[in-house]
Amino acid sequence: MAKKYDFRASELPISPMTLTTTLENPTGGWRSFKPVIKNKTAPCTATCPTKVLIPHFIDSLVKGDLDMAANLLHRNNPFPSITGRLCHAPCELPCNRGKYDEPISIKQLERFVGDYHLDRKGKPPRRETGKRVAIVGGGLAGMSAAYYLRSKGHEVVIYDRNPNLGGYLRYYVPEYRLPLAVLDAEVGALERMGVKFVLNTEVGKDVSFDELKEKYDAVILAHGSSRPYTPDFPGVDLLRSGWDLMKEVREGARPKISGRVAVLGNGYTAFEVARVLRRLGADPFVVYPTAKIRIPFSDREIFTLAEEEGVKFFFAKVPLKADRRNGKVILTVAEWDGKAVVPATEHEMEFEEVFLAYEGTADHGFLPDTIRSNGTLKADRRSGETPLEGVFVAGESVSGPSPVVNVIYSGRSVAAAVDAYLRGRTYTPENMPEVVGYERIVTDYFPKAPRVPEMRLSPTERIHSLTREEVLGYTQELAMKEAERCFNCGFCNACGNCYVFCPDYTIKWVHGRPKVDYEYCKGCGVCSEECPRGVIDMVKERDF
Amino acid sequence: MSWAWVEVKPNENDLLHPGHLACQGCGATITARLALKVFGKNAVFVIPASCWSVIDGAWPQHALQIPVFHTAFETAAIAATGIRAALDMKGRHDVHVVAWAGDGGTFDIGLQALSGAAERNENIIYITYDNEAYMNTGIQRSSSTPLGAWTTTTPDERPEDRPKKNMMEILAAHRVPYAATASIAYPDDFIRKLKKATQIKGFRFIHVFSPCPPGWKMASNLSVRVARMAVETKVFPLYEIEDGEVYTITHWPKGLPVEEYFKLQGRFKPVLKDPERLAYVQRYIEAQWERLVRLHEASHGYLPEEARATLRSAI
Ligand SMILES: Cc1cc2nc3c(=O)[nH]c(=O)nc-3n(C[C@H](O)[C@H](O)[C@H](O)COP(=O)(O)OP(=O)(O)OC[C@H]3O[C@@H](n4cnc5c(N)ncnc54)[C@H](O)[C@@H]3O)c2cc1C
Ligand SMILES: Cc1ncc(C[n+]2csc(CCOP(=O)(O)OP(=O)(O)O)c2C)c(N)n1
Ligand code: SF4
Ligand code: SF4
Ligand code: SF4
Ligand SMILES: [Mg+2]
Repeated sequence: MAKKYDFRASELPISPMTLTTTLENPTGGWRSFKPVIKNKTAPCTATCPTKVLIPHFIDSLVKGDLDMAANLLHRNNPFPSITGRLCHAPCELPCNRGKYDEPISIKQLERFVGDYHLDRKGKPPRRETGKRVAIVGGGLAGMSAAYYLRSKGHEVVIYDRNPNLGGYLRYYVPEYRLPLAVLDAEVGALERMGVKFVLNTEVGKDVSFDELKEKYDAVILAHGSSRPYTPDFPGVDLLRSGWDLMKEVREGARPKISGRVAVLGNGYTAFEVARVLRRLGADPFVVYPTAKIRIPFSDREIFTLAEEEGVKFFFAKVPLKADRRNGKVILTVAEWDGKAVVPATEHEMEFEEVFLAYEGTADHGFLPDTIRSNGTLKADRRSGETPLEGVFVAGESVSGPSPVVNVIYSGRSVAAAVDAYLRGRTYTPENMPEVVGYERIVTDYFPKAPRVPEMRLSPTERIHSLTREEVLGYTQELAMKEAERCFNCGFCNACGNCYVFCPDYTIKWVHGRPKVDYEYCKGCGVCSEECPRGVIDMVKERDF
Repeated sequence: MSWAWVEVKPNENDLLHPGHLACQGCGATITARLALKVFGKNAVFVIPASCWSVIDGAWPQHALQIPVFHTAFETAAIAATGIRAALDMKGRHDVHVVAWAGDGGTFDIGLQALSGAAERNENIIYITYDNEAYMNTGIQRSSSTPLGAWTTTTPDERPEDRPKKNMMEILAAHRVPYAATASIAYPDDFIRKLKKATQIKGFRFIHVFSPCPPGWKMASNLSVRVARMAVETKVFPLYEIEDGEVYTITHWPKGLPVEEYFKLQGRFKPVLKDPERLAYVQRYIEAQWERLVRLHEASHGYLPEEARATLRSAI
């Protein structure tokens, strides 16, 4: 029995009246399924090699909180201004919005938020742990590991043989793809965080690996894979280095090169060298070992740009011999079927110059044999752990040539492993909650809207400058417009649908978020059905 | 997108308590929740016999946090008229008196009282939550049951063969200051209409599409989706009529085929299985829609761009 009502006759109401509310009926007992509000993984995040929290940062962008957007973005990507320019954006391929109209321009949004934050970032950690970590190599991998380890309060010292940080990005990637000012700002942020740099110092020569091992609690090897590779065929010494050319041009030189030139290579470096040659005024041809359709996805963007600019290609061809006659280079090439030269396909081609632009290889000469095995390092793929205690590997030094985002992830995951090691914990690789497929998106809530195009210079504009950025970033207005197209798959953005439509008012709105009141929820499932982004699951509680 | 609703404010006037007695997924409760968001505490509901007499709770419990007057089936409009008069005599002109009736209580048995109150232009708001049958007594057809639907009195062998009664036109013929349709799937539209209604004096009528999962033979989670589909297939257009003359369509639908709406519900199984009948229903819907669009055009002198795509010249 509930309350006892004790009235005197004169106080009784003249007609029957209600005295309490239905809160006395705990209708939760009617339920056989219960709604569970739980964020999931968006397909974009699942595909991003470094698992950028894409729906999360885009949501903050939409809400106009750029600082929070930057904060969420940097959780898994310390250098969005770099990926926002160089990344091949695999995240955009499975974007759910792509199944509706066009995928979200995630890379451009990343660049916008990254650039907004560029001069604001770089706060020292709140607490120091007193642990010391040495990083060999201040390329992107070393920088990424340094960012996360320093944020955790460890002392981080980067050793690099070059006079400045950045590795490939500083010395070889052209200015029109990545302005040095952006790289300098990222390096400046690391400096403000308190990361220490020991420059012009080659490990193995100026300081020994054993000394680092002795002086530091952990060592990360992030020395890249930049030893030039030179193929072996007669006359190869007559050819010029594409790498040296890239370096000269990055440093400001503008050598005069004209006429038909060839670039020999096996990856996108060859495409990029050809594009630089085009800008210097030459007519470049790339001799490329595989068929056009075999160009990996990560290299396709640069290939397309090169093609638009008038770079020409000889696919599925390899060089056999080079000669110099009458001041020209005579290159003998043959068709290549992927394994061997196709007989009777040899022929000569004439060029003013020929440039070598093969992907680099790693130089592990300064390391002990214990962690090497025929040219590669023995290390766990994720944690970077080697057989030597306290020694870890990150970046291209272990993976070989890789896109920037994979290198960033390597630095980040190895930093997590090192942090665990320094704290005496076991490293557990991150695992992602279930991925939200397109079928969970209630597209009725999203008006069709075309993708905001990225502004790219025309091919003619592009070939006239070696310094002008070829892709322009979004303005804030365009970024907001694009951000609003995102479904925010699997991420509760507090849209309020579940609260608005719950027939039982058992989704409460608490501190701007939905919360289920299980005492009364009847388990109808309307909230789950109307959540536009698949955040609410109905979980079976009992049989009917 | 963040908070998706312009008109619905979180934690404002949440005057429907949980623990009420509606079935899982009841559309009529969403209707009441949204309506109370506009009326606030300053309202009286007059509820004739219907599901809502039950939903509100058995004595001594009560889910709506405002005074409710339960009344006989056919008397919603006249009981509301009386309460209005009483409140006016006490000087309480600020209180909204709301007749809150089902489709049976409105389209059928309550029609005489409704017509009288409308004709006298009584200063009340009449809301009919339409679940297209007598649900509380076990799904018997009403004059609101749509063409082709199953009910216990229009079984699968001979589903409803008369079109739904057009209440809006009956109200328009009374030249009441305001009549509107609304749907639980479009809360912003519904709330704008409620706000407009509260600012008008005289007889105001809102016809709210309120799905009933058991009565429509569908899963309880589909209530809102099905209401949305009814609008987007032009089965239940959202519009308003001012002074019985000025027609305004407030949401231009996508114009999806009617199957998109029918296939979510078991009550349309017989029509879905009968291509001829389905084509007939589709033609009927197109004709009704075209008529409404022309009334909008006549009222405003032009049609907006979105209108063209919704018209199928095939009729
Ligand atoms: C021309 C070009 C264009 C590219 N464009 C793109 C692109 O568009 N998109 C994309 O995703 N990726 C691109 N990349 C790839 C990208 O640059 C690499 O993924 C990334 O820079 C690799 O970083 P890393 O830190 O592993 O190696 P590196 O950048 O090579 O860094 C290694 C660092 O270690 C230092 N070091 C080596 N040995 C020692 C030693 N013994 N002692 C001290 N220091 C040492 C080196 O000086 C260097 O600073 C491009 C690469 C090139 C060359
Ligand atoms: C005069 C009279 N006849 C019949 C009934 C039985 N009765 C109670 S509710 C109801 C059905 C009401 O249908 P509707 O108005 O559509 O409301 P719903 O139950 O569908 O919400 C009926 C027939 C009654 N209460 N009074
Ligand atoms: S719509 Fe947004 S959250 Fe969903 S996959 Fe695309 S970018 Fe990611
Ligand atoms: S909409 Fe409300 S009653 Fe229905 S399952 Fe969700 S919380 Fe429970
Ligand atoms: S409906 Fe909106 S508020 Fe509710 S869980 Fe989904 S995203 Fe969050
Ligand atoms: Mg009814």
